[in-house]
Amino acid sequence: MTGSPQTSRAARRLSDVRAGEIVRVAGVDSGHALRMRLLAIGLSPGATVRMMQRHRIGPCILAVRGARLALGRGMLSRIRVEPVS
Amino acid sequence: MSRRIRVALAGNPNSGKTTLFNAITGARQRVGNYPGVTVERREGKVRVGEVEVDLVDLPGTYSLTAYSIEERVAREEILRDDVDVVIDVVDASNPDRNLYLTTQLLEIGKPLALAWNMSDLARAAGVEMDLEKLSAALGAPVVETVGHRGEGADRLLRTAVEVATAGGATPARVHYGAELDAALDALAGRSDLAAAAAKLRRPARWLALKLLEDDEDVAARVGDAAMREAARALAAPIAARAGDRIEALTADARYGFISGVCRAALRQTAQLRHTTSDRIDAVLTHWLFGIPIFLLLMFGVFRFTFALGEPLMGVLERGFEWLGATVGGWWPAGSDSLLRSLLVDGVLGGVGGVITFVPNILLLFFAISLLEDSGYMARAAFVTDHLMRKFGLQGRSFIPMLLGFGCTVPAILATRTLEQGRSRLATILVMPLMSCGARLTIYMLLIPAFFPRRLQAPVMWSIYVIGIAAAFTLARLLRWTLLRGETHPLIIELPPYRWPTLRSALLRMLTQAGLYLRKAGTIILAISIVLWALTTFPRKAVFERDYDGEAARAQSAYEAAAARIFETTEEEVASAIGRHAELTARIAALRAQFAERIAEEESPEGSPERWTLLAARDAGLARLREEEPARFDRALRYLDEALAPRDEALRAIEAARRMERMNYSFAGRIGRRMEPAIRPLGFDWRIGTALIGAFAAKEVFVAQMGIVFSIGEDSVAALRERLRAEYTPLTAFSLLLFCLLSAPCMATVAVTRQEAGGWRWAAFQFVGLTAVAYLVSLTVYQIGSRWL
Ligand SMILES: Nc1nc2c(ncn2[C@@H]2O[C@H](COP(=O)(O)OP(=O)(O)OP(=O)(O)O)[C@@H](O)[C@H]2O)c(=O)[nH]1
Ligand SMILES: [Mg+2]
Repeated sequence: MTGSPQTSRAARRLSDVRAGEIVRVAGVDSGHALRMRLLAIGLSPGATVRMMQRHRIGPCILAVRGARLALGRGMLSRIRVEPVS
Repeated sequence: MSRRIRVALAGNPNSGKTTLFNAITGARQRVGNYPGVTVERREGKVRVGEVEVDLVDLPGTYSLTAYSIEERVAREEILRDDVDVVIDVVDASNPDRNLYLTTQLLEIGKPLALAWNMSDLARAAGVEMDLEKLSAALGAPVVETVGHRGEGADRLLRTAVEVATAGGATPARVHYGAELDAALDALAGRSDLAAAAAKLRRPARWLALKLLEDDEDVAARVGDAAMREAARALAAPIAARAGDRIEALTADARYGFISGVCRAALRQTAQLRHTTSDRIDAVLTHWLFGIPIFLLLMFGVFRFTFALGEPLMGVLERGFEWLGATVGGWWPAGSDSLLRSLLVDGVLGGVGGVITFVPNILLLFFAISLLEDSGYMARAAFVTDHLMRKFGLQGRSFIPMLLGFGCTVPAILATRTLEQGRSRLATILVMPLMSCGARLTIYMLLIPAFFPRRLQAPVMWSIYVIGIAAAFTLARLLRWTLLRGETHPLIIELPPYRWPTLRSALLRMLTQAGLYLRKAGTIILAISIVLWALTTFPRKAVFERDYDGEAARAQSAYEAAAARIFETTEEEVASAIGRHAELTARIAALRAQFAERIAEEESPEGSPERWTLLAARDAGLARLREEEPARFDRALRYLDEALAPRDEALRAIEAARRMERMNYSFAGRIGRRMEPAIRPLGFDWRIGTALIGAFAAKEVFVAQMGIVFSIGEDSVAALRERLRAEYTPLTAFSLLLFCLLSAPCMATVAVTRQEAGGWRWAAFQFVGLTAVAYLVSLTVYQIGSRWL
């Protein structure tokens, strides 16, 4: 939870990203084990992510570093994102 | 001088480790296009010149920080001191992510060789690669491979041996930015850290890095608070300035290092890897159509299995009939030989019956393996995730559960890909309810015996659906009571779709066939012989009725009736019967033929179809009468009034004799003891003994039915006829439910104990499922027998 002041204030989450949108990962708020896993599958700060599929309910599909990942909603809401510049 | 080295195959899930392992060692371990196929360590041996290589195939892992059980297995092996070289299998069509593990392997300083696997896909996607540069940038040899064609496998192995014997290159150093690098140097320069690193046999820089990342595992192993404090003091300002945790910064640096390497050595001329796949996903994982498509696919799998299985089964059935007749023919008719009984009743009647149904099981495995190779399994996890969560399970539970339709044992092992926890435990406990291939033999025997053709498919479906419904209900109950708690969120990689190859599916089926024949030849055969012995001994010598006398009386009554019909003396009757034999046989054949067709068509009595058939039969009979006007009527009367009653009487006598014998046998005595308990379910003691035998392996049920009801002729059709004579469809349905739900087999109990961590859960599963089965069968039978 060591987000710097400006990111945690207006932090947008991956769970808010619309289908087709491309964003950049700003940080991950989670326990150690889960964070290590997210980092290892490519969701590290700075990674660009494209939301491939987002349904009203259930998990979403992301494109990250050349792979397609299916992630549950709960997980997405722990990932802070920022617009790609 | 010969040397022995140990080489471990590491890499991201689904990068092709097992494919390469198979190519190098000639093994036939399972591969499939989804993450988490391999969940156990597997070893193989090969020789390279003088060097003996122990090659170890491992589960896939994304990093050296293990997350799930199968990743822990991989990490432990990679970090073992006696592993001389690690082969890092990299999916070349996705280096960005795959090289992350590589950077961690570089950090830890294990001698390393890279397999640049799936290079065919990378080339097809238009990636130009310079492996020399890549190898130089990483500081490890890189060998291009195409796993499923075995290309480069040899060279990869030789390279690994070279690294082990001659020492590898110096691994490249990942830089984490000026500040972190300085902190690393400061930490690594401490003498206490150098000593701790030497004790762990790891590089000092690696240990320093792990301490900065605050890796609990490593810190606990060092156990030195002073060093940990020093690391924290160094880390805190850096983290504060960067606004993120150290492990996020190092991960970022690793990815930076990777993109540097890739820029130097690879040129991406096109991005094709996923475009087709994404288009397929737009349909298959559609929010509305996803689940219906999934159900349709499952329906397809079973339709395929049964449609193709039936003709194959017919062939085997005729084969065993012939074999039974041949072996039985070695003894004179009516022989009481024990050896004959053992061979014909015990072995052919028991094991033969089981093998007859094997094609279906193999086809089921074939169909599942097509699904596994296509890449759909990971999508099934995605599509079902939301629904599964409502039952306290998760989408990832679904992959093992699908495998459970084949066999419960590998399915329970496959739950290792789930995070350790209560949702995994619930998945393991309800797994036996996913009706396995072995239980299919029971359905295949019983359903056609008791249900008209048009109901057979629906009954079969209902059995599977009831199993799934029971699994979900029980999982929900468990997660509300004993196993309450959080469900881990879904994380799964979706690999690109690929056309499943016929070759690999066939290979898989052949491997399975080999396993199956071994199972039939060992455990099923052994249990069949035990059950045969139990139903045969002790042998009754003095019977309560004079069966031989009764049989002789039936014979003489038959001769008297024949003499009356043919109007001859008893001395001449044999020749009269002989003169009419051919005509009699023709009449009987004609009737049998139409009886069969009527049974097949299942047109109701009085319907026009039935009427047409009967008219055709009578026309045939009328033609015969015109051909043989003098003899026809007598032949007909002989058939109905002499031959049929005699055969009927002899059958009844033989059945009574068998019954008396069996009641006297051990199995009969045991069965009789348990009969009061199972009578309310509609079962008798013969079913009871078969159910006990089924604990060894579910197929034994079929074998025991074959043994108990063998009547010298061993065809599945004859067995079904006997069953139909003995039991009602209601009993059959109650029995089907019981077999579906009740106690899992021995092997499942053992694997549950191993994976759930203790006998307690295995016993709970065993007792719980049996109780559920008992209650369900009891309810169905009691309600059914009152209202039907
Ligand atoms: N096109 C192509 N496909 C390959 C290659 N190597 C392996 N495959 C396929 O990739 C899929 C995954 O292969 P596996 O050997 O099961 O992968 P694994 O690394 O053992 O996977 P896990 O056990 O799940 O970690 C299978 O469908 C293979 O047929 C290759 O070089 N080229
Ligand atoms: Mg594997």
